[in-house]
Amino acid sequence: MLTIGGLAFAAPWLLLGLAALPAVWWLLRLLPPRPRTVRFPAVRLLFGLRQEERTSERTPIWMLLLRIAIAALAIIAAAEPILAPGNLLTGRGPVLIAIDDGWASAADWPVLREAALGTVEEAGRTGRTVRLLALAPDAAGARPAIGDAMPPEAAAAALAELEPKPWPPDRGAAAEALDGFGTAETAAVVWVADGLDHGSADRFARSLRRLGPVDMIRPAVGDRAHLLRPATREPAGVRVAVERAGGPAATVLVDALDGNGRRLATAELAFAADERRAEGGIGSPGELLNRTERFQVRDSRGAGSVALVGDGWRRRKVGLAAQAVGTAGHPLLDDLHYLRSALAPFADVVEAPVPDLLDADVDVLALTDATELGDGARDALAAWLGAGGVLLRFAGPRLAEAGGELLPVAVRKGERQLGGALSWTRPQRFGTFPGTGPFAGLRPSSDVSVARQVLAEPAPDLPDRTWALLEDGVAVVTGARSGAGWTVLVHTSANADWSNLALSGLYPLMLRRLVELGGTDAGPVSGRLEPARVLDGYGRLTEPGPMVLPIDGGRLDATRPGPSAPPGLYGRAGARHAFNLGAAAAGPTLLGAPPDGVGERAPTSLRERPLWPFALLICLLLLLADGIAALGYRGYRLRIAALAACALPLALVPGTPAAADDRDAAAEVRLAYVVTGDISIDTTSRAGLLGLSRVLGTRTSVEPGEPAAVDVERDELAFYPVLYWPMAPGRDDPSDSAHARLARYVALGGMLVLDTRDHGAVAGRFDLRGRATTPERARLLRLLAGLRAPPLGPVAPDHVLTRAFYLLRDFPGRYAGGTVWVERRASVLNDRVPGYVIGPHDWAAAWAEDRFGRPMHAVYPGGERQREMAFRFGVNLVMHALTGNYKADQVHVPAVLERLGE
Amino acid sequence: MSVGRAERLAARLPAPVVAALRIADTVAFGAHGLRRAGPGYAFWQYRPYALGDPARSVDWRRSAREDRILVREREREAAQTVWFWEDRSASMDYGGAPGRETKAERARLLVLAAAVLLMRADEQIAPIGPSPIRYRHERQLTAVDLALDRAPPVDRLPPDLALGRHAQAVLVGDFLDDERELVPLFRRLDHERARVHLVQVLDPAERDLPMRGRCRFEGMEGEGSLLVQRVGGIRTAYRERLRAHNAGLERRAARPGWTLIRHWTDSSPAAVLSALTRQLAERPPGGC
Repeated sequence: MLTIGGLAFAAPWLLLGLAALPAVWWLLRLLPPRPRTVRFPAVRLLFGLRQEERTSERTPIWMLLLRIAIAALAIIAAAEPILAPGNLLTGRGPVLIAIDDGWASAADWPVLREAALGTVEEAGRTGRTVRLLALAPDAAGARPAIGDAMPPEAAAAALAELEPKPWPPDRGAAAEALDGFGTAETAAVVWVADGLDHGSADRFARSLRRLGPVDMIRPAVGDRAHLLRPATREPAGVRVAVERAGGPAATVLVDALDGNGRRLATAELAFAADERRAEGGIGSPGELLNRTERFQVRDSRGAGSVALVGDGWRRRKVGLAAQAVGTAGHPLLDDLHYLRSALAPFADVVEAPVPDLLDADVDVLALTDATELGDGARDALAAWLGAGGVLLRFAGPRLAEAGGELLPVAVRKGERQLGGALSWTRPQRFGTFPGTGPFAGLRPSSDVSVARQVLAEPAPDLPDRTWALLEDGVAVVTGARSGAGWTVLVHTSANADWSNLALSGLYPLMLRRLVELGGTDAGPVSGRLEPARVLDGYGRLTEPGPMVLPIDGGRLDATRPGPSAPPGLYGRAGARHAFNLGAAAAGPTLLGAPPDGVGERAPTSLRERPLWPFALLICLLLLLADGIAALGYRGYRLRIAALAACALPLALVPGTPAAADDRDAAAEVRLAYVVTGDISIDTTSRAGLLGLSRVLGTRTSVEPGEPAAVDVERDELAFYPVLYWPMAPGRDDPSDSAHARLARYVALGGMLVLDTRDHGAVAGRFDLRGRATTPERARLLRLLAGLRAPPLGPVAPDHVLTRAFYLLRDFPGRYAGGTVWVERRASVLNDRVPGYVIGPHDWAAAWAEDRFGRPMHAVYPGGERQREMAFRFGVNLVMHALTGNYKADQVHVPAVLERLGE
Repeated sequence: MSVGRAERLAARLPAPVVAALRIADTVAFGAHGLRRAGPGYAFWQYRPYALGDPARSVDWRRSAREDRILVREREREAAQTVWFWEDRSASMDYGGAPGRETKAERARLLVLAAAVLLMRADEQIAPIGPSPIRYRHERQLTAVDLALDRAPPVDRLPPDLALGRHAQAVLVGDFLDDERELVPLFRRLDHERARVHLVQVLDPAERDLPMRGRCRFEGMEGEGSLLVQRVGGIRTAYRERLRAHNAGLERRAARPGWTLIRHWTDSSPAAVLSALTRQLAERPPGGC
């Protein structure tokens, strides 16, 4: 090993090769480059010309220098140069490296570790062993102790595994360990310090001094760690404070982050020079701050820069009282559906019976009209209200009929109805939000109106309790204090029956205000708080290790962070408490000047850096340049344009066709067919639905758009009133999730038209019972089983399908004479429109037209009249799906006519 | 004619033909003009058919009115034929700098442009060759271009050129070749008493020898190669030798009625073209 200043060579004897450079110079000069070859027409005139200079053309001097440089670099690279700046170690004994790995070191950890590694490498160069002393207790709780003497490689590996801890270093314990350490020879000591005092720095330095000469490496003043104190909530926002040990004037940003690390708000804190504490506020809307999960000093790492917040900050938990009876099931009629949708973006929604909700510590409890309260539940509710709960009630027929308790105002029996067929009045629009209520500042939108409501009994305190008024001044939302909590009554229904409030954008805004009424403190702390998530040394949340113990809730404030109680979140789910380093640690103070005999240096980069790869790289680049220059010398021209053309991308990859846009799908009525994957069937389906769409457009007021091709595995089905599905044998059955989606589609009012297209192959009755006779029927039966289809039966002679638009007797398609099956008892929710229409007639083939309007398939046996009948069936099908069952009234026409005496 | 159609037609013309037409448009013919002979197409007289007359020359309509067969005879075609020869040896395929026109391209341009000008002056032109075809109309320029492509090299020319007495010939080439090849051609032309206009097309690189350093020169017609250690050292001697060669060529061209024009490919073709037409328009000393 040869060392010249900061440069060392691992194989110095190879540098002797540099002595050969003059010989290389001479050789290169002697050997001229190859002549360039020139084609020349008048070469005959050149023959025999006397050449004045006999000496050969010399290699150009620049090319000579270039090649000498290449040779020199190759020799130097072979000698393996290393940049090794550190010459720190004195003496010749073993090396002791003490390193601060407490919370404050995280900010500068890479620098500190590099400094320690540089020292280890230097020890390796001089052939000395290394002992490590980490100053913070490790995660297992062991006190700091001096490690065994290790070869430098092992020490480097141990250092690479060392991570900063989220608690302070224990220099007192380390000093005791040093005092108890007897050594025969003086060691060289290096202390890699985090720059803070932590209480017992002096004593530790004296103990180090006893072992041998000490060098202290510590970061510059400005780099030191910040300690973020827990944020406090104020009426207008949040107050945060950051402490530091000192340093120049600086601005520190504190971010409020949500659970995904997104920045919600930022406070700007300014430190004057040498100031140790700075405060600042975040004045953001309450609901934004509610989503905060942690505060963090920006661009600063470590557990000290993080302040977690417990569940006191969190999203409010809203309970929806589960309904026993009523319209549950159909989403658009369900009372809770609108509440659920409106609350989900900003609150945690729990649905359970009332007692369970109270057990689950909900902040807000919403009761709709359909909920019945037992006596026990009522008492429990009252107690919960007294403790600060918010009870949100909605009116409805039951409340109007029976009145109720736990209301902010007394309610009159019966309801007020505005508008309707037998009334001159019109639905009332929302008027104003009184400035005293929680809705102050909201703007009522003009499209929100109330058709029915319950009325409050006039009372002196009614104006104070009125939170929202209709345009005619009638209270529509009232609220009152009830113990520490609130009761709120919305005088109209929770669903869209009485008012379109639930459909408006105002609804979530109002609910958000109401939910914010809910309590903000997580209640008194007591009992054992089990560790849930803890911070690591860098301020990241991790799972707690085995040594982490529960904290006694009563002694939370007195607990000191350490291996058994790292900062983090403690307590059971829903009632987590934050234990922060900033709440417990003392404010950071600067590490004083080192005692006598302790040298100090800044942690500049002390690592060794091998230089030979760079030398080799430059050597190769020069070689390339030399090659290009030599080619140019011989008359070649680089075709740069050609090279660039090679580098150009080959072709633009055409983008995949966009999936059907749901917005387009919802914009107009579209017939849809299921893509089977069989090209001829799909073409027929599309052409058939096009033909049917044309017929519908010319004969009825339904003007369907382009037919949609639907993949049942992927596409949203809800936009299509009718889904035509020809059975294709030999295709994969739909997946379970597709089955579930299809079943939901039918349950919510979709019409599934299943066509086995096989009547031509199997003439006669089409019977779903018994064994399948064709592959298409086998497929159909498997599908029906997968969908859990309800009982089916042949279409009755007076079924609305026979009279929805045309009067029909049978339902021919390409074939005629088969039976068409529908549900025997279609759901009332869907106006008794059948969800399944099943037939063997290959309807799409009869409807299919080419682009000139000519039929694509012959119909059998009936000719064009049968095709017309097929179209009529299609029209009836679509009209039935779209208009429901009102034509069923015609069933009574004969009776009515008869009664009129005809 | 629509513009589109004109463009399609123009696209069919070979590039040298288009260039030649453009150059020819910029050069006015000499003040003397060539309009000495009457138009060769004009009707002259009918005469009775004689054995040996081509059937094509019979005027069948006129013959049908009379009992005899009449031949339509045209006015004596007095147009003069100007003969062209173009050096097509490999050494012509040389452009001394990237992007510069080669000597062969420039030579073809000059020949075609001169042909256009002559044909516009109602003269005929023909390439020297075994069975020459005479061209007299501008429309035939593409055919002239093709015919020049097919012309035989100088050592395969027929012994008798059959130019006709006092014909004019335009010879375009670099005339750098050994005189062994060109001398027989010159001698034959002299023998036929042709007036010969030599156009020597040279590349500027052949004048200046601009290469530097160590170069290996290779001949383009298999003459062999020569390694020159320092081109700068022989440049003066080369120029001297080129001057001597050209002087020899000028001596050879110093015959009655012969002219020599030297043209460098980096100068304008229009200048050499107007000089050439001026010389073509001059009456021969002997006169006819």
